Amino acid sequence: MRWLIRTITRKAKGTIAHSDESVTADSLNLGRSPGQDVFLSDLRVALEHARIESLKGSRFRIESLISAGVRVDGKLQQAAGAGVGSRIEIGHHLIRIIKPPAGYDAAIEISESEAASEPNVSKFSDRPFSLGKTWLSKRGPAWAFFLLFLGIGLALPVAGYFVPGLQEKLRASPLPSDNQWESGTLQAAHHFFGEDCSTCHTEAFRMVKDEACVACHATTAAHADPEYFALPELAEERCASCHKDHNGLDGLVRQDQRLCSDCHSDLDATSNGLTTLANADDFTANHPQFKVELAAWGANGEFMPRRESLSSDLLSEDSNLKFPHDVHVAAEGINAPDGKQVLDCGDCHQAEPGGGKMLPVKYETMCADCHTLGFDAQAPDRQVPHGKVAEVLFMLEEYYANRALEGGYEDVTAPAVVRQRRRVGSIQRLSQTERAAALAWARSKSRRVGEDLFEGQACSVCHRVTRSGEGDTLAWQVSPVRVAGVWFPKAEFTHGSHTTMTCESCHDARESAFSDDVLIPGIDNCRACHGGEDNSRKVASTCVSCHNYHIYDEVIMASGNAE
Amino acid sequence: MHDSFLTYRGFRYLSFAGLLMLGSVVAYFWHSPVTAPNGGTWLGYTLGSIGAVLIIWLTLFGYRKRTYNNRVGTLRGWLSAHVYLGGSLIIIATLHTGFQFGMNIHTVAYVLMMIVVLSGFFGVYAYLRYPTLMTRNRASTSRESMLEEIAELDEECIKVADRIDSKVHQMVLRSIERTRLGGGVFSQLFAHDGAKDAVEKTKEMLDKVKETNERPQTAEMPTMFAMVDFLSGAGGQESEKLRQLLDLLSRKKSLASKVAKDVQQQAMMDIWLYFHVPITFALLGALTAHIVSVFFYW
Amino acid sequence: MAEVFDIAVVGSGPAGLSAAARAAETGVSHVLLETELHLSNTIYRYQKGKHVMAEPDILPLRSPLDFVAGPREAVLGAWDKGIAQHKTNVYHQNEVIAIEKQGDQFKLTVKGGGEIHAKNVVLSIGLQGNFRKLGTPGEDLPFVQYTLDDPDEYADETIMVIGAGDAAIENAVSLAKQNRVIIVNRRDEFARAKDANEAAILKAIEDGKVEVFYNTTIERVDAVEGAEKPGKIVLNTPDGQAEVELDRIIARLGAIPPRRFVESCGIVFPNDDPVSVPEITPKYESNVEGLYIIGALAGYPLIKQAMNQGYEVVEFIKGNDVEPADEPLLRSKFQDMPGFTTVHDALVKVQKNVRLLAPITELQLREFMLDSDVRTPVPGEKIFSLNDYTNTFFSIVEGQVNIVVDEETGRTISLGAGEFFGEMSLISGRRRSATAIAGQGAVLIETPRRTMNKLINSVDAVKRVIDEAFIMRVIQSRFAPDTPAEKLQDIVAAATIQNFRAGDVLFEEGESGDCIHLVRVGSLTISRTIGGREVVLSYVPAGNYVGEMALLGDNTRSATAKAAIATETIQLDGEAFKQLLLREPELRLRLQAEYRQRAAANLSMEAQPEGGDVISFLVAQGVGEATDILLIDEALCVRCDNCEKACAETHNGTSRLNREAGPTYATVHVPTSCRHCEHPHCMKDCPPDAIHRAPNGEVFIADNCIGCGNCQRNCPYGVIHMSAQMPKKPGILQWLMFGRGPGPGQDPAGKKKAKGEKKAVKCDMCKGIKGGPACVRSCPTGAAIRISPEELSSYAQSLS
Repeated sequence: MRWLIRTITRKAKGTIAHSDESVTADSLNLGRSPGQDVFLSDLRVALEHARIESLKGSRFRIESLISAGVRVDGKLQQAAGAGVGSRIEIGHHLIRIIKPPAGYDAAIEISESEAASEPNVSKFSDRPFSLGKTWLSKRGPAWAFFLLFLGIGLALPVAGYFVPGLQEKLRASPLPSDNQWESGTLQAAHHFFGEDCSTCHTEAFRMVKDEACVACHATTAAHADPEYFALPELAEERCASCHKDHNGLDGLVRQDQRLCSDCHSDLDATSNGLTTLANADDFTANHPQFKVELAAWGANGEFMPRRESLSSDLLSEDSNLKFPHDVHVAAEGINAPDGKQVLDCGDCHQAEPGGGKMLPVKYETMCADCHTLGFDAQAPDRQVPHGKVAEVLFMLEEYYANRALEGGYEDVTAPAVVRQRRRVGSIQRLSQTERAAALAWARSKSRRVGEDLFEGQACSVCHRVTRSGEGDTLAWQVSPVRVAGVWFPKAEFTHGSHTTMTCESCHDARESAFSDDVLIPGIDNCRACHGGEDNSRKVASTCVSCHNYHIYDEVIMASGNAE
Repeated sequence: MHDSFLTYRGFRYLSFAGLLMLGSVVAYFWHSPVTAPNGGTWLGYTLGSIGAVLIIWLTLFGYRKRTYNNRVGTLRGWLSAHVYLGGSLIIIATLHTGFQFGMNIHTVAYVLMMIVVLSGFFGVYAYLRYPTLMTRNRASTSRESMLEEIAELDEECIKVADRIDSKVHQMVLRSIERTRLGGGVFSQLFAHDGAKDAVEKTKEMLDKVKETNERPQTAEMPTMFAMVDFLSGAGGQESEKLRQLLDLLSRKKSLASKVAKDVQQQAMMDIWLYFHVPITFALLGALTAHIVSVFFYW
Repeated sequence: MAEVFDIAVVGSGPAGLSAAARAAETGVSHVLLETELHLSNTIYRYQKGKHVMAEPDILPLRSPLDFVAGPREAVLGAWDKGIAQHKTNVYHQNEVIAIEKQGDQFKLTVKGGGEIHAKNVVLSIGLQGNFRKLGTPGEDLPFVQYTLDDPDEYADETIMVIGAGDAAIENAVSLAKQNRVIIVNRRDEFARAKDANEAAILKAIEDGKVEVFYNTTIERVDAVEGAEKPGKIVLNTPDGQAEVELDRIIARLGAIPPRRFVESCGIVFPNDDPVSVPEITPKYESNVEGLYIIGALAGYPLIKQAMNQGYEVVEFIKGNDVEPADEPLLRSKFQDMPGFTTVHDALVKVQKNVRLLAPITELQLREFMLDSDVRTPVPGEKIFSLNDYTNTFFSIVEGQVNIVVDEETGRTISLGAGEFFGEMSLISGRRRSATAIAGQGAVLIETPRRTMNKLINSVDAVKRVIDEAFIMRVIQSRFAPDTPAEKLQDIVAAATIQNFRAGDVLFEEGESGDCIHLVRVGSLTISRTIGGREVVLSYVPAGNYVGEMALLGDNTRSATAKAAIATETIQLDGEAFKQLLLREPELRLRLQAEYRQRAAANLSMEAQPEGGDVISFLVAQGVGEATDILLIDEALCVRCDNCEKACAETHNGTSRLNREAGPTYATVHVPTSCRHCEHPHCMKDCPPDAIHRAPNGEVFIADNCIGCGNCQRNCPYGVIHMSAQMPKKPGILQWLMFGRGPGPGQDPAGKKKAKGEKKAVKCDMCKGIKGGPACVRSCPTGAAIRISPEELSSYAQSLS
């Protein structure tokens, strides 16, 4: 086949000179040795450097004859296919395969490559020497990252907020929803709705509203009667101003002393003198003596408990009960039916299950062993019922009438008819007179016994007993017993959390001879172990350790003040 | 005379940043929030605002650097402040978090910020280390002149190689083709230059020629050497040429690796910026999300 | 009997053309004789498209022909048109070879035998009239040429360029792009050429772009028939004869000053100085009556002046007295001089009062005054103050001026009429050494550096006077402020001005000698040989003195003083100086104090020789002649090129500094950027005088630059380059955010080439911008600083 080999030499001012020659061969050999079809005079060319082979359909195969290879279309290769327009670079020579003109089967064009003029650095000139010239870039990635994080972090969730239903889809999908905004773990109790931010965050760019809280916490009491204490501080606070969530599993309730001390360090000022409460802001430094609630009765006998400071001299409990603790808990013991017995507090005072209050003391289980209600030596196991005054007299009369009619009752003071034994089934044989005498005795007898019970050996030992009437109208009253059920209604004390202590360490019952002694320990006793918030050597106890904030239950937060 | 950006005005901004950090630490331990320390307390908001303002301002450095008529302080002062105040962000931002981390956008922003600051620290390290190394490596020639010399050496090699024989010539050609200076990111960073193999090859050929001179030729001798021997008749001058070639090649090789090293060091001084800057903008995105989201769900 | 013209104009240069045209215009019978076929050969020979200037532009043009600055072609075109319009009578190819006076008329003999008679002859042949030829057989062969219009016309030829001057080199280098060029040099170096050109040709030879024959003369040139090359040249090389076949010979051997011819006409020259010009009357008439000389030959190289003279000379010949073209200008200058009547009187007065200007002709004075300004400052007004960077020269016509020689005490010396001041800065190229305050009724002439230097170099008398005054004042100001001048006469008389080339030794360590050197131009390094190697101890800029140590102590030099650059010192005789010391006890004390300081400084430098090495390195980089140089500490430089970018951005897109380029020692790198030399090489030949020094010392290029590129060639540090006006860039933010437009430091023109004619650009130290040079301001790491040589020693110490 016939090749056209066109050599192009550039002249100044862009003038270009061709010189054509034609070769007839199947393939062209390119090289620096004279024998080559295409002679390339350049030391960078090997003697036999490459071969161009013509395949069918004006395709060509370029093959390097040396290990250095040839550049075909910019790539250094050992062998490569090529077509019209391909560029082959060998040394300084640029060989282009061009469309063969009429009369030729193939044509190549040889010219000095642009670099030829400056052979030196040309080899490197096309290669980047600084990162700036590589594909690296700052602007592109910067934008990409910026938009990426803005989109994922902001655009998506916000869209979710405004497009109804989208947020749920997002949460369901692996795509990030507004949950990525959760700044910290929710308080344990809130977890069950924590997934859905809008439960609390109802409105964009507005702080969480109280409505959101009281939706569940409907029965939360107010702190104080807003009528008197509508203090701005209280009115303007939001639930969330104390209850800050997203701060871990607990810690939703403020424990700090400042919560109270802000107002309670100077109540007169903060409540315009409307309060009766004393100032308090630190358990060690500034807290009034405890007040206990004692039983008391109004003018017409209605129950009106009174509060007394534990350090006031009006402090005495009148429970209508006569009970000297010292006798009962005496160390050497107390006389019991079967010899001496040593009692301890627990025998009478037992905590409620849960350890909150104490169970009431019961006669039947706790006193009856010693304080029996028997009345007739000839029938030692007969007893009058406890706590039922009317029944006692009735029961006595019935008992003695019965004994009189039966007869055989050993008593010198009794008439014969009561003493003589009867034969079986001979009752009806008693005469009217006999019968009357027997019953009369029985009546007087029961009176005497009753009197002895009430005023003598039984009731009046523990209870306050008053008698009224004479003769047939004679009767006794036992004043009802009333002990203070809850000593500290405004604070919370549980024995449960003090089980490590002995009772004596707080209540010195052994010293108490009178039943109107109040054995509740005062503040100093607590201070022995408890101190204020920042007391490092004692149990640091803040206000809310004993007191509650939401205590004024006449007003419910739900009908709330805030907002 | 020369006042480095680190020592600028007697460490003015170092002390400034130091005070800032000290202040925040003290404040952090002094303030006792009702709940666990977090970004929502008054101190949290304060530190947050400081941090945000700092980040914006630090980002403006790129702009200041390129506004050449700008006379708001000297650029050196800016860089000094950029470095030190940027570093102080570590303390400020960490205290801002109150050590509450989690799988959320807020922590993402924090992490991004840390990456930016740390990459910046690498930058400082690079700026302190590489300039001197570069100067030493260049030994007061310029990269261009080295490249030119390499190119000239190449020409020389080819000339010599051509006088030896075509195989050698090809081998040299090959090595020249293989000599790759500069180039892609990685070849820049890892100082690639393909100039070695040629030297090795020539060495072994040289040895072969030596052998021939010692022991008599046998039938089974390596082709390469056969050719060399055949060309020269006596290996003497050949080995001379080869030695010459070897010298040229090794000279070239040392130059090539010099250049490669030069490029590498330059690259080391630049590369970190390609993290520092884009991630800065990632941070800006995350930061915006963080701030807006916090007030979106207030 | 042939026609007798009123005026024969010889030579059709600008002057001649203008004269002839004026004659034609006013109907005077005239003839214009021109050797060539075309007019104004010199300008015709300018390189194609060369920009022709119309300096001095303040001077009004006064000629029937138009002339405005523009490309050579336009100028020539205008003249040809004008000549044709006025029906000027031109004889081409009439080379006048003799002019002799016969009675009241002249006979002009023309080469080839013709004769022309005229009453008056106007000689306007200029200097470039005829090129020097090879002077060998074949010098006129067609392929031998003596000029080169457009190097690009020739391609793929073998061209031999003959000559070693700038023209030859420029041609050779530009031809070498497309041709095989051989340059023939009679001597063994290209010393005659400008440094830039010398470097260029040597590089070209180095790169093999140009071949060269040194020490070679031309035997002959032959034409060859039939061969592919038309010609052949035979050369006498050191190693025998050589023959070269070639297409073309371009001989650039300069021009013969036509002095021989001029003198043959009976005209006398004032002296043998080759540059000197014939003496002529204010009416341009030579000592030969009726023979007038105008143009370059009369010492007026500028085209416009020459054309004006052409006009004027015709008027003079016609007998009417025109006032010179510069009259109104001068009048306006002298206006506010007290007692001003006419320009002439004023000039006379000036020459009477100012002895410095006495020796020059009135015409020279006029020219001098054109460039100068007359100032009448009110008493107390500051004329210039200490450390200003102005370098104009002041002559006192009347009144007095007080020079504050001592800033602390405010002690002044006052100068009276006839004296002058400002020569210190003029000569040393440094800041003002004192403050000058106008006294009573002061009338001053302020002359720019360039004009003054021209005068100094052309008139020896002026130079001498100034030098003496300079010496006297230096001694006074540096040593004996209180001593009256007359008492210093002896030492001044004994003082001599010494010139040293760079590297020359003033005196060697250990040798005995007792003279003191006051550096007045250039600078010195003081070094000492320690352990066999030379350690530079300090650097002495102009205005300081060395050698006093020997005078105070024993007579052996304690160190070696070397010229850092071409340096001029005033050498004070030791004996005379010792006398002075005796008279001035406190001077002795002062010197001893300085002596101790220096000794201390030297010791500290000896302690840390690296510092000295840095100094000598920097001096080797030409810091010696710098006034402010950019240094980069490569230990701090992070190669961000922000300095270059800043420079480019603050100077519409072209950076005037190249950080990478330039040498490095230890970690001190001297980038390629302007040093604002004391005697800027770039100022040397700036045709429009566009390069100035600002009061703060910045050497800058004004807008009237015409882009001739002389400064670029003259700058030995290659810090000037030619650049076109660049388009405006979009705002930086647009680039930062969206990559819009070229970024900082990138070519604002972007892809498309910047158009518009190119002008020279160089560092101006950002004098327009507050806050100092952008390169330093924008260096983020503090690697770049600018220092002045005075700080050199302390800088060197700060490094080590």
